[in-house]
Amino acid sequence: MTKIQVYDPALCCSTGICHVDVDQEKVTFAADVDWLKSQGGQIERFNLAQQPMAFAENPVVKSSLGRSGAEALPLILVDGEMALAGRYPHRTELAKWAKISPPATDTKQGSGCCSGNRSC
Amino acid sequence: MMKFLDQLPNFLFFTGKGGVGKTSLACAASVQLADAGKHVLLVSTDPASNVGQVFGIAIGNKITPFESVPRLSGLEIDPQAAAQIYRDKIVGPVRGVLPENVVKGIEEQLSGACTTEIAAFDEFTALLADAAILRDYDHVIFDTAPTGHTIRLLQLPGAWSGFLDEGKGDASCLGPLAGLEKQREQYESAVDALSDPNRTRLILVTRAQASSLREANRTHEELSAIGLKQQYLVVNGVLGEANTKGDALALAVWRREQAALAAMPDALRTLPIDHVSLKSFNLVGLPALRQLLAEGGVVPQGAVVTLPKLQAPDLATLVDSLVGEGHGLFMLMGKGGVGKTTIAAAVAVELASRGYPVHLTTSDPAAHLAETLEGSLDNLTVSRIEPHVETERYRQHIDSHEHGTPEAIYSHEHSPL
Repeated sequence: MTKIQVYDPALCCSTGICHVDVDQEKVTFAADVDWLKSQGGQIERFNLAQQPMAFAENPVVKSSLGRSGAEALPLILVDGEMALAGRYPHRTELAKWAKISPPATDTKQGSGCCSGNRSC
Repeated sequence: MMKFLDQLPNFLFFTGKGGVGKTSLACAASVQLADAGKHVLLVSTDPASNVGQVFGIAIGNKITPFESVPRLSGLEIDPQAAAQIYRDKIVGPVRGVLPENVVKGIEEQLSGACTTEIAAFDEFTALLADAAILRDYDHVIFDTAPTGHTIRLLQLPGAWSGFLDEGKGDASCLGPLAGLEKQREQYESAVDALSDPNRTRLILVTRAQASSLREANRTHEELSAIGLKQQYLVVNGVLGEANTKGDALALAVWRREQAALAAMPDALRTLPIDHVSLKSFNLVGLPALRQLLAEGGVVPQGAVVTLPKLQAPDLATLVDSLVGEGHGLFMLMGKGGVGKTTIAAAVAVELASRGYPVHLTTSDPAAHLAETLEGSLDNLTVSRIEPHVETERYRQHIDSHEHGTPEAIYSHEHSPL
């Protein structure tokens, strides 16, 4: 199965949404990660502020940090290869990498949007 | 013998409103147990711990034997120091491996309140869960921080375990789940220890004052609800009737205390209760501590002190200086129990009665502003920032996001001050 690894910038918590001023991108991505897991996708997140060793031990991530600094984060590796840098992927991208069927609707509103009992 | 020291389990927690005498009682109980041949570890979780001061020694963030009291050791959990150790543990291995500005970014991120809470909590659960501690000590006595902090500290283990069981809600300061899983056993055994009456006893310390008793009752209910069932009540510093002769002030204090005790909340009455009489000496040093729990003891020598004369403005003068500015944000600070809320209310009432619109607010979860200001004035608004309520509002806020109302975040309400 395809393995997606997300190397987050230094966040207070594992999703970065425990602050009072929430970054909408992080909230959306946290929900997308939940969605992917609910679809059986394999995705792992590493927080620079809590697991910096994971960054230092991965040659791809380490060299990218050395080249571009923390601005390169988040870094997304798919099966160990760099897939995206500097922004979080959308749900459709996650689905494509994980080789699972894309979300029913990505932009359209309405019922049937959610596959499970969780949020879209 | 005091009831709260009878048939004592391993863990003993003292809690209560600031200034009621938790530290003095915890120290006195520790000395008494050590004198009786028990091995005792006295732990302070108060960021402004003064256990060391009471014994006249330096303790710090590691277990330190008290030379003056055989079998007694002390430990001060300093959240700031614990956070520094946590930071070093995380950052140390990558220093010189990752680029310097990246390392700096990590350090910056780990300088917040989250880190401090996590680090202090780790230390706290380690003591409850470490079997080795109970090989070395018969009793571990916690002199906890003022109540609001204590409640959060004690509620955390339950909250964490629930969090782990449900495997959801990364939106908290709990760190990555991967890291938590490793410590799961430790948190579980900490929760077990806390809710086991054979291992943990909670001692609610109060004064014979209405606000202090209400506070004790609130803590009693909150901690009962999270499973700390074995609770004792100690009414500290009770003025004896014999001390009121020919002293109008003492008599008034005595009457007020007796009235407060008579009106004690019913839930507290069902607990085992001890009364500790008001002492005429300062509770610093071993001779004084050994007298605290002994009834009818002698006054230790050198206990009489002369108070210096203070030069401080009266309330009206203080308010005069405040109104000069027209508008203003006024904050009152001080150790728990000194009267911040009372003075804040007095200042607010004075300002309001002079015709200024005043908003009086507190973020102390254990605040008694509403009680202090029963019946309101024109111009005066009283509110309370409830950490629990704010957290819930925030949570719903996040939920509404996930359901596709991104605009909501920008209408976030800031509580008026």
